[in-house]
Amino acid sequence: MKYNKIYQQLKKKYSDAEIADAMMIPADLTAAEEVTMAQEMKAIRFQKLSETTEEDRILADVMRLRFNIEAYLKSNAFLFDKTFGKYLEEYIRILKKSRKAIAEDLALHYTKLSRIINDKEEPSIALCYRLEKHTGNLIKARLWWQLLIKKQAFILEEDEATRIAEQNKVKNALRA
Amino acid sequence: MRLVNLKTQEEFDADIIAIEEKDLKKIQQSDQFIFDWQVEKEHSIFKITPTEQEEKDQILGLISLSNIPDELRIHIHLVEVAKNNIGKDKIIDRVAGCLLAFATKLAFEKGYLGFTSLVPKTELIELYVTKYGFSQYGRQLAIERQAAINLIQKYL
Repeated sequence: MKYNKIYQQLKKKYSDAEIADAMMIPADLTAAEEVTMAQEMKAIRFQKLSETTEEDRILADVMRLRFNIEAYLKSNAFLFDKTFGKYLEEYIRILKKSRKAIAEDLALHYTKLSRIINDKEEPSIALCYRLEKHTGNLIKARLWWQLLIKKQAFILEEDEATRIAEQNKVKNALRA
Repeated sequence: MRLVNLKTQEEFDADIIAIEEKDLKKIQQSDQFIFDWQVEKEHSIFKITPTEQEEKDQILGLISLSNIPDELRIHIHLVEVAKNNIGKDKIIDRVAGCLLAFATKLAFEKGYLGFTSLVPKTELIELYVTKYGFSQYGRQLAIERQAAINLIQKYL
């Protein structure tokens, strides 16, 4: 009765709503009850799995894609196989739709979509908003846009040739 | 994920990470946690802390859970928020919600369709159903799919 004892102590100070708002207190189970509960949950789980639909799979995979993007954006490294285009390609793969169908969904020219997927062209803010809607708000416009920012920040630091070429055009620079 | 300081009404970022051995000692010595977290060592224990470097040592809440790959589910054993953040005088809000949403996030990452289970005290079942969107199966609760997505969208 270890959990019940603590629960009774808490009850003297807090309401059940306040307790539920701050903790998940497990039930005190006997060894026999634990076995029964585990068997019941196993049966529930397999029943639920048998009811899985294609829509469930898509939503779950889009959530995983979102978590992948979030983890990548949190890391310091930039990777060319984790660009906006590559994640968009993965999103389309999850949906099992053709690029043509997605281009129509997003009111985008098919060629433009292909160029963005292949990192030949950068996406616009407008496309990020459209993708937010298309993903059912599961992947926000801000996340899509941050993928572009991460790539541009990397290029800005690494592209020495362009830096020199552009800075050669500058006159009357401050001496700092 | 974002928490709210109810005194200042300011939102701030927080992280959930696995605890280390030194955290367990700190938790045991602290007056902020009532449950015996040493017992939970047989499971995976995670802590929620502010992202801000100067406040990173502050443990706002804890969750212990197990991965049950044979049944494609995550099981929550215990969740506790630091004493300062319980009841009408609490300082920081949304801590428990973030911890529960974190468990469902793991369940999505592992390909379990977000399926997360728990066996709470009977008296509290109805509140977990109403507040967090769990479904009741006898004395047990579980969340998955759209309800799990809703929890994540609200807290993470």
